[in-house]
Parts: sequence; structure tokens; C-alpha cells
Amino acid sequence: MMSQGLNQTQEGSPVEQAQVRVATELRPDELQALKNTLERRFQCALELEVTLDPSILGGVWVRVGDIVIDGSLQGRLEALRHYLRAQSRVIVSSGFDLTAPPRTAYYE
Amino acid sequence: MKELGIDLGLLLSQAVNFGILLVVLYLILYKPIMGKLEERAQHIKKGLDDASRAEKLLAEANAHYKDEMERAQREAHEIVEQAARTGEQQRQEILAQARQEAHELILHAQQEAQRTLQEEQVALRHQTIDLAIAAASKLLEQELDQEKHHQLVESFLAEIDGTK
Repeated sequence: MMSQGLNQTQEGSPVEQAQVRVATELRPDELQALKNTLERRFQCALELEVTLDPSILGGVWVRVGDIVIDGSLQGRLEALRHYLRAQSRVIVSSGFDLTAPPRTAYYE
Repeated sequence: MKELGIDLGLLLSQAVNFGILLVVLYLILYKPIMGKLEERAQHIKKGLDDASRAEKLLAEANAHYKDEMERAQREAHEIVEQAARTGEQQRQEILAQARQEAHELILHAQQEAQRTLQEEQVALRHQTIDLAIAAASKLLEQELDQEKHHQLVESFLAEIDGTK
């Protein structure tokens, strides 16, 4: 993993550390736009510590203090995995009964 | 009387003798014999009465015996019937209990099989989901070019701005 940093701070404001993970290197304008957007979001000056992490596949993962914003593809796939697993358990537990007469389709 | 050859004195003495003989015979023979006969008759009558009473007692005893026998037979019959009823009731209870236990065993086995099947299905679905996610991950890794990465970053920034 490689790091790219953006240490511009707004004068007189407290500076928070923001850990950023991206799959590919960001362009300078993207880096600046990300910094501005996150500072608007958290309403404070941020120092970005950007790390290249191909395992997130794409998108952006950000951590500021205790807050994590996972906009990575890997995170979305994980969310999708959890959603599908929960749905599959609901479908199985509600849709199958050995003591009931057989049906042609269990999952409709 | 003399002409008839009858001696009146002799006749009279013989009459007296005959009377005396009658009295003696009456006292010595007739009275004891009649007493004995009366006593014998009484004895026979008593024997007959006793026999009659004994016959009556025998008949009563027979009737009592018959009643007792019938009662004993009825009681024996009732006891046998009661035993049969109790046996049948116990048989029914044992059968019902056995059916209930068998039903519970079957139900438990069905529930266990259903639970196992559901767990297996859930595990299979989880494996399928994991495989699908892994395949999607691989596909994305191969398909994402630089342009799409930049689009994703822009999309992320737009989302952050949108949720402000």
C-alpha cells in the first residue's frame, strides 16, 4: 500500500486526522474535492492520510475519529452479503415445513 | 234252673271269677300294653315329626346352598368381568400412552430433521452467496478501469454531500 497526503489546513481551526483508503491513486483535483467534501461533512479542518488499498476494489473508505464512512465496493459487497444471508435465513425458516404436505415450489 | 242243668251258685261264682279275671287281665295286660302302644305311637309320631322337620331343614339348607352358590357364581362372574374390564382399560391406557410416545418421537424426529435441513439449506445458501460475492469481487477487480474508479470517487463525494 502506498500513501498520498494532503496536509493543507484551515488557519485557526482544529485539525482532525482522516484516514482514507482508495483502490487507485486519486488525482489532485479528486483529492482536493474529497478533502473539501469531508470538511463540509465533519465541519472541521481535516488532514487526509490516503492509503492505496486494492482490496477495497473501488470507491472510498474514510475514517474520522470513531466515524467510518464506507463507500468502497468491497464494503457494499459485504453489505450485500449480509443482506442476502439474512434474507436466506428468513426465507428458509418461514418457507419450509417437513410436516406440511409437499409443495411444488418452496420459495416463491 | 236245675232242670236246665245250670248251677246258679256255680254260675255266679264263675261269673265272679270271670269278672275278677277281667279286672286282673285289664290291670296286668291291657293297660300296660295299651300304654306301650300309646308310647310307641307317640314315638313313631315324634319320629315322623322329626323326619318331617329334618326334611324341611334339608330343603331349607338346599335352598340356602343354592342361593349361596348362585350368589357366589354371580360374585365370581362380576369379579371376572371387573378383571376383564380393568385389563381392557389398562390395555387401552398402555396403547394410548404408546401411541402418544410414538407420536412425540415422530414429531421430535420431524422437527429435528426439519431443523437440520434448514441449517443445511442456510449453509448452502451462505456458500452460494459467498461464491457469488467472491465472483462479483473478482469480476469488479477485472472490469474496473481508471475511468470507473474516478466515477466511483465522484459518486462517493456526491453521496457525502447528499447526506449532509
